Amino acid sequence: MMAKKILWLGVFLAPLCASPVLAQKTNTDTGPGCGLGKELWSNASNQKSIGAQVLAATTNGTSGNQTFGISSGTSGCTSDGTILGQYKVNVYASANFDNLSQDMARGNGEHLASFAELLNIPQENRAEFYTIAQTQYRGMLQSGENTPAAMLASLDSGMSSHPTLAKIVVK
Amino acid sequence: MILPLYFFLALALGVFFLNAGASSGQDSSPFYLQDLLRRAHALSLHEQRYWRLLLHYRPDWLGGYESEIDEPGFFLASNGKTKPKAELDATLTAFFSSKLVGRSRQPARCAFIARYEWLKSVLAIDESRLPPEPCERFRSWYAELNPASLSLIFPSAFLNNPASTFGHLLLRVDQKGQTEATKILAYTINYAAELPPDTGVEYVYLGVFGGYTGYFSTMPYYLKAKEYGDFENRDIWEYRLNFTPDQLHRVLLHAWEMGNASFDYFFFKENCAYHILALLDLADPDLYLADRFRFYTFPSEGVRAIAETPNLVQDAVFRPSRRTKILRGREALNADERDWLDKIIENPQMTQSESFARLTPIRQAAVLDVASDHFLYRAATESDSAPFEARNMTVLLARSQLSVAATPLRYQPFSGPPDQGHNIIRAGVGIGWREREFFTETNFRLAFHDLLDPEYGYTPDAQIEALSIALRHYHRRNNTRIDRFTLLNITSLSPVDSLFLKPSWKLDTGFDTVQRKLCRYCLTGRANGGIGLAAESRWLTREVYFGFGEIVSEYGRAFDHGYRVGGGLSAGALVDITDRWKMAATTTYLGFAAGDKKPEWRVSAQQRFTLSRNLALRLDFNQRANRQDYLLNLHFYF
Repeated sequence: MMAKKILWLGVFLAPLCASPVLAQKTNTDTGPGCGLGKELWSNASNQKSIGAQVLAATTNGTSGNQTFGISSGTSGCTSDGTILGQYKVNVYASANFDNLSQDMARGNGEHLASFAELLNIPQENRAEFYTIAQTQYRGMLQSGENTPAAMLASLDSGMSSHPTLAKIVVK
Repeated sequence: MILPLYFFLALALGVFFLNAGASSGQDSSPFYLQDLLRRAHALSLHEQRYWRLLLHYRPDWLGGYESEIDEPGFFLASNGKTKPKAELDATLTAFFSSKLVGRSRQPARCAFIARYEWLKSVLAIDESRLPPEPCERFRSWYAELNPASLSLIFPSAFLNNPASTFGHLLLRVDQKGQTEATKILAYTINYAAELPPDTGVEYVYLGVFGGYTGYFSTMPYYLKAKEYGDFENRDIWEYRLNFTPDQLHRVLLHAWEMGNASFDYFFFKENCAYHILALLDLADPDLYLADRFRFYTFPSEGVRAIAETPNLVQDAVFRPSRRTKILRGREALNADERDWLDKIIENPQMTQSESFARLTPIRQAAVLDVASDHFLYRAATESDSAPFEARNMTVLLARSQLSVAATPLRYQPFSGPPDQGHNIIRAGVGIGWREREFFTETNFRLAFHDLLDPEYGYTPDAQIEALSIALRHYHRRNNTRIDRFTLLNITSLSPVDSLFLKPSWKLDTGFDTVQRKLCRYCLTGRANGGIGLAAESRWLTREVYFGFGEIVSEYGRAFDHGYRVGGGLSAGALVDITDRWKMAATTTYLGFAAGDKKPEWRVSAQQRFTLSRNLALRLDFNQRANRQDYLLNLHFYF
């Protein structure tokens, strides 16, 4: 009972600055290869239940501060807290996989527009890019695949036959 | 004897002039350093407000100064934490060296680049007389942020997640050329405590008393927006700030220095809101943002401090959480479409049915978009996400066959922007009637919001009260006494419907005055918890109904055996009659299994009328075990 009360008190006290709920696993099979990406959220069980929330709020270590720490040097995906150029696309696609999936299925949206920006798609080709994204995403789902890596690969192959976009490599 | 003296003087002068004339004079450094120190002392730079801001010095109890920064490496003088002058001298001295300093391991000029830029401008430092430092790490960081302006980000409070009871505060560094659609690519500046893995209940104690260490970090906004909006389902308010390019530059220079700093984290005061405000003070030392908070800093108060500063806020932009998107998206569907939504959520294969295909593509898209958000919401909030991810795939496959955009929705918030909510501290004066006795009451609550306080700017259906006390003076007997005290009182109502099925819960601890056989005014301790369900309707404006299963334990000499432990049921409703006028009514039946076993009925009815943002009238009726008590209160929020 006492322990439980303290836990409830924790509910009250955890709050002001929630530490980011990030977990860094060593398994990087489906991630961008620098220890981030999909793994970033794999342990984000904070919303499962009130009990699990308390647990999450009281037990989560944060790798966020080390990975994204200002002037913290180079570690994995980041340098002095900003994401290294070669990992940007991959980290973005992995971390936003669900929202990006939605936007690709729709052929529009904030996460797809930002992705186009990140890939430096020329403004005049954006509309075509969105159409390619929707077509390729449909093709990927029909083939039964659904991972960030497959998403990027199918987008890359969809763009390869386009006169301008073919020059842009998605990976 | 005279000749050698002249000779020596001439030599010394010659060396001095020679070196003064040299453009990159390592050799002249002792002279130039002495010159800078002399001028810094003459100007008393160490007493200037900007130096105090740069080093986070605050007056201590003994009339001196102490820095809030707790990392020794942040100071270049061994006693720099408490000696602003020694730190200033050591800083100027360190600019003449290329030695790597601070946690970030850079030359002092780069590691403490805001100090350098400020001293350079006030002392007109001739950079060519210092060892050259390109500060490439800083330059590439700055280029990567590509800053154009700053936004203050406030993820709102959401009681159902303990990590978000009061909200949070961070900055977003908006990029040049950024649009509404690409703002998620911007970096944020975030301050948070670092918790070691496997932290247990000591978290509470350590969090309040500075047992954890807080750091600054720069996560991309898409990660923070996802954390708050998708995982914790908190609406976000983004305040675009009007800083000049120079002010923006100064904030970022200091943010870079913060990479060398760490702070003991104090839950109530030195938290995210406090440190974000302290960082913004660097933009303009006349802002005095952090200085307004002496004992505690609530993120919403921080937002108000900024919103009340003339011309600082350009506008406030609402960013809906996943939950808000679902609720508002469903509102925009007609009855037939809502049926389809329910069917698809029940069985996603219905997306393939011919009758669904009879809706226009644009309406199909609207239904599918809400269905997909629903499955992602479930995937994020339930223990096994896989089945919801699979169903989402089915929905998205159907969606990818429609080459239309759904009608764009403007997601309306369920409450106002946080800067327009009532202030945190509440004081009340009132008159009342209890058992044929007239009394006057004064009450005080340190924080935060109860279900009847003016709701605009606060998360609806969420109550959290901490440290409140009410004193009553009974005139006939000329007796003043504590009537009630609340340590903590939380109620989270989550109206359920076909898409959202979450329990409501509450928790309450404190002291109450009860009247029993032998004891007219008995102070008794209470601990009460409950779990239940809530529902809402929109007959008048908005009504919320709730029912709870309760457990209660009470202690005091009013009871036989000095205590009672039991449980019961309660039911009630909250009714918004107009925007200003709200009513609440609750009835509770409690039975007791141990101690004093006499059961008890309780009835309460309350009304609130909002007079202005920080002024409200409250009428309370309470009945416990057939004893009644009426109270009329005027509440001030400040």
